[in-house]
Amino acid sequence: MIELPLILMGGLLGSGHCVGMCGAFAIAIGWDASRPTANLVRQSVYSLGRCCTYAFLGALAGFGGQWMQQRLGALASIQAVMSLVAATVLILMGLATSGLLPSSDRWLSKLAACPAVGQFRALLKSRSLANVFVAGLATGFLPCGLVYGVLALAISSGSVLHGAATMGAFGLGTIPLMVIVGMSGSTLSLEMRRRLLRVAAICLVGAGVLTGARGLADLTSPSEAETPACPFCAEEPSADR
Amino acid sequence: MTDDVVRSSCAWCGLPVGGSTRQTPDEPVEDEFCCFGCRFAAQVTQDRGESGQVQWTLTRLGLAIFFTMAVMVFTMALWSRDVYGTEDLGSVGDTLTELFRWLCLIGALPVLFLLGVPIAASAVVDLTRRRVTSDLLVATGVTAAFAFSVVSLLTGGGSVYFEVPCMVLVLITLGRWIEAGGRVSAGRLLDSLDRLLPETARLIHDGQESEVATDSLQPGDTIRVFCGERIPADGVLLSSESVSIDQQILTGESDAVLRRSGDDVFSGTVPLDSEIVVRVTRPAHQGTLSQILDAVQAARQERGRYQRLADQATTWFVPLVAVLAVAAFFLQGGLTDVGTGLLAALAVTLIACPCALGLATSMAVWTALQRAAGRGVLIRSGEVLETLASVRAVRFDKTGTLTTGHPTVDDLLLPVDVLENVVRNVAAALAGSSTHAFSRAIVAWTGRVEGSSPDGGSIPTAVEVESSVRTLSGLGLEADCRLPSVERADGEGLESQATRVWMGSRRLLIAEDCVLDESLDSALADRERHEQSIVLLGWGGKVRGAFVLRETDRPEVEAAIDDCRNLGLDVGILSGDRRFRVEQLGERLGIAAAGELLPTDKLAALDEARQKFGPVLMVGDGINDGPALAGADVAASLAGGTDLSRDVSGVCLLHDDLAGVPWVIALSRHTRRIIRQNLTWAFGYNFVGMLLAVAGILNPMIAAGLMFLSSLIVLGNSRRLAAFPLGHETAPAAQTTDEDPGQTSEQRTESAKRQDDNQEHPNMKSQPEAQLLQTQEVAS
Repeated sequence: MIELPLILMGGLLGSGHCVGMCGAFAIAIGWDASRPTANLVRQSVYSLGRCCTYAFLGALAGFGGQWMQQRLGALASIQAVMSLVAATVLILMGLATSGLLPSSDRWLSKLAACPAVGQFRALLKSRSLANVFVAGLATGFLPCGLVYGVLALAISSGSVLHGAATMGAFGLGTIPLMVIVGMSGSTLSLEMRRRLLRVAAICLVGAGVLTGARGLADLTSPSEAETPACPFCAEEPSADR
Repeated sequence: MTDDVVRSSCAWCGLPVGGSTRQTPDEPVEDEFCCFGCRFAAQVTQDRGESGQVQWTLTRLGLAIFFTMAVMVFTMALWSRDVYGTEDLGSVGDTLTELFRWLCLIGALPVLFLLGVPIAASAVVDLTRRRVTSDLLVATGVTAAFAFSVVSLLTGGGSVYFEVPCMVLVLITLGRWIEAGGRVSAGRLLDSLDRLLPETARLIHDGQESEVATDSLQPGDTIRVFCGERIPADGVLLSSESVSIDQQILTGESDAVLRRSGDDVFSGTVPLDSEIVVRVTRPAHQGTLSQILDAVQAARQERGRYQRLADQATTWFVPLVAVLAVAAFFLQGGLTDVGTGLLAALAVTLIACPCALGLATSMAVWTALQRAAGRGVLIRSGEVLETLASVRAVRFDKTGTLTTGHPTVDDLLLPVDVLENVVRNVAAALAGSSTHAFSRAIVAWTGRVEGSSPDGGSIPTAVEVESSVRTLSGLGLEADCRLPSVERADGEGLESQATRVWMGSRRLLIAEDCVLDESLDSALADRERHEQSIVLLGWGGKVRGAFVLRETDRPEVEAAIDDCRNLGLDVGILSGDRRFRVEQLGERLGIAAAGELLPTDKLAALDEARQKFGPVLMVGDGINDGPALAGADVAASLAGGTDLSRDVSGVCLLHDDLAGVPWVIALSRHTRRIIRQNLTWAFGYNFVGMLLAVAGILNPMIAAGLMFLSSLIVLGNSRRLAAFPLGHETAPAAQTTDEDPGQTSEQRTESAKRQDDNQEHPNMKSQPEAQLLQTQEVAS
């Protein structure tokens, strides 16, 4: 579980990216909150909604990973391969986040044409906390490079609860900055966001490298997959089989 | 019998609601919905109210999704343990498992309440309307699966399936909602046109201007319309200057047309370069735009053959599915256990949901009707559309259909020693006060050649009409004029003198003892032998001039007929006009032509064509060929500017554009193809899915997802029709030299230009819609 803190950090710092994309939502949520405390509640509920979706997606990914492991169990190194794939995705996403690779969010603009957007806007501005929560849930489903990166990791975890925890940690990490943005009513300066993103990218790449190392270790000793072969894996409960 | 049934349409998407209803027109109309999706979608939007706040309905869906996600997580954790034996934590694990099972129940309860209750309520409402819908089956299946899970949880053993009802409910609600959205977006465009008419109009009364409600406008009222505003009602242009009018809303043509004083202008169109004054000729709600909308709306209610087929299937479907579901339950229940049986039964009801089947035809037909309306082609019903697709032969009427119905002056023949200027001025003075097609042609011609004549010289040629011009019915015109001398040589003096003048047919002039010059007579005989009409002008015992007129082909005729032939249609002309004229036209166009046909002859000719080739489309101007139009399998009429409500043809070419004939046939064939694809898909998917479901292979959650997907496929396939190319609007302006001056020729060159544009930029086709949407956004 050594990646979890890293993932949390990735979320925390990567949320500079979230602010660019979803910061407007957070601001919309706090738009007509009468008092700061009311706004804080709304922001928290919104982010909680997001985390719920992330955790759900993580659980789904973990289950998927588990299913794959079972089905493709004949390939002894499946766990290792999945780790390597996740590592690649994480590193790629990290590089993309840092701006070293072209970003993949371009097609998001197409999404804006979807009629559901109108409903979504109404949800964001709704007074009822339930609606704010629902808006948070919906936001969690928005396509996002960071989310994909962490999802890849969740798949490689090969466990429902572990997957949920991975994504949940990522979601929790994104909360502080989003709440701050929602409270202050303004997005961060571009320069600030850029710096944050760079650190986030490093975290993601770091998580990727760790995962990759674990995968490589698995790969080199496939026959002993039951006994943890490297210090990183040793920290995990013997969940991944 | 069926006439007694009031056919109602869905309050959300506007599609006809199936089954019989007990509503009569007198009863207060209660909103009816064709399906649960529409009911749900209507609620979502109604809830929002004016403040734009989402309320309970959408929140309900969102919360249900949350609880479903929770149930799914717990279920997946359970599966991990049950199926794969992982996450084994000893006795803690057992407790955890039990806890997760209970958590699943706790999570599933709200979903059942939030989404299950509305579906069940919808099913019950349908029941009270004597419609058994698949909603009822789904609600039953979901309840059964839930109840079974509760029982097995309470009794300790057995599997629980709480995730199944949850996922099924969420997917169904989400799917139907999106589906309803797709359906309504197909209809919204046209419906919203109506709302584009301004609510008030500036009425000019005794020189005073006042703002009145558009609905209160009466024929005869005079209104002012500012530049860029939509004209609220059909009328006649009074302003003296000519003005460009944007008629895109009616014809789909993006280029403006030029309108002059006295021309008709239509409601919904926009004057572009100056404000105009209009005399209203029709109340706003009977205007062209409203009529088109009414007609399309009415067409939507009519059901074609394919639609009836789908309807019948839908009626059969539900009981059949119920039987199959029960069979699957016993089969799978007997083979394995009750839980599996239940799931199999639920999967059957889900996979067999006739949504896609119900949509297969109506969506395609509806989209096609609207596409046609956007092109200025009005199709009266889905049935007409279906018949059009099977048409094998086209017969055109001649006058007013292949020809414009507006003759033009080909030539002015003069006896020797008659001044052309004088004749021209006399003719212009007389013809100017008549609305006969020949008079209009003469006025147009004299206006055009004015000043270009070499022998104007210094001789005064002004003509004064002393009495009012009298119309001699069926013969011509008569007036007393003060004329200058016309005979150059005989030196009777240049004093003007009062004379009685006649203009009209040879019969009239002979009756008034005007003698035809011999050379003129022979020249005329030659012209008359061809397809030309003659108008004579005479006074003082002599015929002084002869106008030679002929009919003008519509400029797009050749291209339209070529297109018809390319569609594999047999093309011909059936006309009551004189044989040699008709045959000559036929020769020129290279098609079979029969002239001097009485209405009964036309019917016989249509019958013959029908036996030889198949269903026949008759194209006429809708005025003088009623019986033939009625006798054909489908009739199309060119009805520009006429009262649509009186027109009986299945197809109305609002644009007076013959190119619409091959276009609409191509559209109908394309529609038929899409309907067949849709039906094949819907039936095929249902059949295969059903087999899998009965075999117990299909998980209900996947079935619900597939159902959603299937509807989307049908919707998407039908929406392809909305992009059907508007294609050749008008043939290249071939004969514009002989046209009436003014708007017609301009219109044509513009059309030709637009056609080129279309070919270059396929995306241009959606321009009308795009502009429309823009307008709406501005308006809101």
